[in-house]
Amino acid sequence: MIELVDITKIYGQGSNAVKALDQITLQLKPNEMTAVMGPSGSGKTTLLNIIGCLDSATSGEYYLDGREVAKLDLKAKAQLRNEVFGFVFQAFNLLPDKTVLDNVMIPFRYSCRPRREWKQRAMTALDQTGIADLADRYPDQLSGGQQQRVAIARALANDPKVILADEPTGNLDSTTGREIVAILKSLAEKQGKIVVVVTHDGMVASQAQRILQMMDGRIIDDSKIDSDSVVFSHPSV
Amino acid sequence: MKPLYRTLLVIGIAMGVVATSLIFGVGQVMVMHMQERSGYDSDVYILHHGSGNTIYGMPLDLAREIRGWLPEDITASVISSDAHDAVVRIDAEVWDADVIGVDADFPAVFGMDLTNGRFFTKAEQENRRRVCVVTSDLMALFGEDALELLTVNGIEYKVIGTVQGDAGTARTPFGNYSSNTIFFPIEVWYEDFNQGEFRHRLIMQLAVHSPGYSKADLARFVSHNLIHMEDAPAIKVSAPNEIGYSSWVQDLLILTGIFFVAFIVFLLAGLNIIQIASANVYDQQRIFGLKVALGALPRHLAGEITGEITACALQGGYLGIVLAGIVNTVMNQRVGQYWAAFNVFTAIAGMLLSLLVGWITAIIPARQAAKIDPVLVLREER
Amino acid sequence: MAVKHLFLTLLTQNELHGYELKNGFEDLAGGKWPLNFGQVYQTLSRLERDGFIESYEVIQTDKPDKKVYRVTEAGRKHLQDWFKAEDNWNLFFDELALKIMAFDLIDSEEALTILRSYRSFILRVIKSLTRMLTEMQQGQPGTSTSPTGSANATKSSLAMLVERNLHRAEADLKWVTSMIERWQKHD
Repeated sequence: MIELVDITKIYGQGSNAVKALDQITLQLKPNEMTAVMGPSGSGKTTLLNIIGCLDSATSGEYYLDGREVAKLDLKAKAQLRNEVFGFVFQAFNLLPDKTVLDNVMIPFRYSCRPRREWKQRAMTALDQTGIADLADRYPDQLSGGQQQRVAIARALANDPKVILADEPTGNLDSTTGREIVAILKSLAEKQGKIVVVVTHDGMVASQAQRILQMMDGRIIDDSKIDSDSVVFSHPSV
Repeated sequence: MKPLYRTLLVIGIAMGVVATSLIFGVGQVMVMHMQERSGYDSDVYILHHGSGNTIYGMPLDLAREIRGWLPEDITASVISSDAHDAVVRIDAEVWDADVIGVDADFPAVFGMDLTNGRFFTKAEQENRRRVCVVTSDLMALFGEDALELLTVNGIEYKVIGTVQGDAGTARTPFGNYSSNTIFFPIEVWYEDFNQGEFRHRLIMQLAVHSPGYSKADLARFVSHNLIHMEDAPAIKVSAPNEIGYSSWVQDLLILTGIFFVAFIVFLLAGLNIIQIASANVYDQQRIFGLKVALGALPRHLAGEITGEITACALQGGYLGIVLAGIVNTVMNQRVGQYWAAFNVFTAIAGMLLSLLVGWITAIIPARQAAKIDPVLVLREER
Repeated sequence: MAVKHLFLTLLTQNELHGYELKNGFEDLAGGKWPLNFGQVYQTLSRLERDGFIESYEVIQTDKPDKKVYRVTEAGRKHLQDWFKAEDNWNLFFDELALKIMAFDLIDSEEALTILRSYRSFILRVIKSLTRMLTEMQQGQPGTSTSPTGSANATKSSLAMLVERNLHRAEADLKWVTSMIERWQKHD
């Protein structure tokens, strides 16, 4: 369970100061995929980075399963990023000179897991994204959709509770994008993870259970999409 | 790391290792020389004509006369200069060896061992027997079968023994014995190599082994007799390491110069690595940012960088040793063996150096990686 | 009146009777546009009156006679003209367009509420259309094969239609989102 209370983030100082987040109060629960939408500069990515402990808030409180995150030191935050959070980026960010399997195993380097477990766990993660057969390929041999699946598998390596995706379909065509969103959605619905997706793609947002609309560092809308029941009409004759 | 950077790094380190290996090898030889120079039996002295740095040669009969002034229980041998225009042929091959004339007591004066056969005797000297003794390196090079006989200026000489002779076993004031020396009885030397410059026929040293007699004693023997001579030449008694004093200083200067050059090479190699590794960190900032997002701590990144650099350093070191070996072999052909000691120690020194350079220089790029702000580098273009 | 042109198109492929025309049309519409027989025969009689189709009877012994239709030359030409004709653009194409016309006169809060609920509606539309598209691409049942055209052709033209709607819905989402933002800024 993620709880943000009056989270504010300010970059720079004095006259150059920019308020990226303005008193955000938010709760995120398991089993839900939440989409975060908004124009450039609205603070979506900043929000994601703060949730994922990649960046720290200027003020406010952040509780992760009841524990206050701001008090944690560098090492503890790194551990959280390694074990609790899984990041997925628009640009995939795979290591080009390593195989798919090696790429997925990178998070293990920074964990305490014994080496003999690595391959097994990595293959499990690749299974979850449906590309276990590509384990020995290199990123440049894969399509965009396959590369993003590798990135998702990498994010899943340590079985995190939270998946944070920043425009995961930004570099993909619409058909592939739908596939990727379906994967992210099932991580929430079937595995009970908290999934947060920053997106400007309506199709992606439509698949989420909850949509946050941001502007100027604030959340201006927070609504759920429970159903997709729509009346489709046609001309009379 | 990009393949280009990796290649540049390996080449850079290889060059550094080549240079420092060769320098280390030369340094080893120089140090050995200096040790040898000071490691002489304190009972060995050199009597020569001239003083300090300037050695003139003396005629053989003068050398004999001076020998007569010294007590019987002192072992002595004349040592000639090198007849460098004598043409030596071994196994039909012309070989550039030093041709030196000495007395039968020569090995006894310096405490040299014979590894094979024997030295010539006084009798053989008097009978002008055409025999000679070679250094062990020469023997090792050609082998016993080839080195039964050799010819000098067309005349045959029988090789009757091998004396220990790696670099710098015995000294003349004019430099080192190379491992390429052939010793002849002095009378034979005079007779047969009586061609070319007058200077060849001069005795450079009267070397003595005089336990029980100090330098002052010897000097007294000499001066006592010199008084009675008309036009007495300046005969001096020196310890071996006092001879060619200037070259001792020279050696030290060369050695210092060598280490200075090695240091510069080390520095350049280090700067090369730092520059390449820094460029690499800059190119890879996004990947480093990603790793931080995956939970990497600064020490993890530092470890990865150091690992990559060390791997390149080892490759470079290996390559450098191989190249240095090639250079050494080529130089051996031209300048003569043992211009530099290229042995296991040189190789180990080269590898250790490359490792050390790798570890130390990795510090800077590791710091740079730690300073990367993941939020900044992971930013996306919309 | 879209139906008649599609009937003509179907008839350029084959001679068909009323029932087959109904099914053919409903296939092309992917089941989203059901017709009743009244509409079918009304359309057919109009087409016949205009001389674009003609009919003949087929005598059957055990069943009532059925009327079969075929297209005329005039019909073919009419169809061609329809294909070539340029469309017009309806500025007031849905209910929201009309509501927007009223925005100057109504309360600002009410306008914002309308925009907000339209946004939520559009998101549901996108969700539904996405699901439709995914099902089509996975070959789910929902598009029946018809005797009057290949199943593949039906699927791909329908997919094209759904994709078009999806794009329009996404564009509309962008629009309504920026409208809402603009409304927020004024607060």
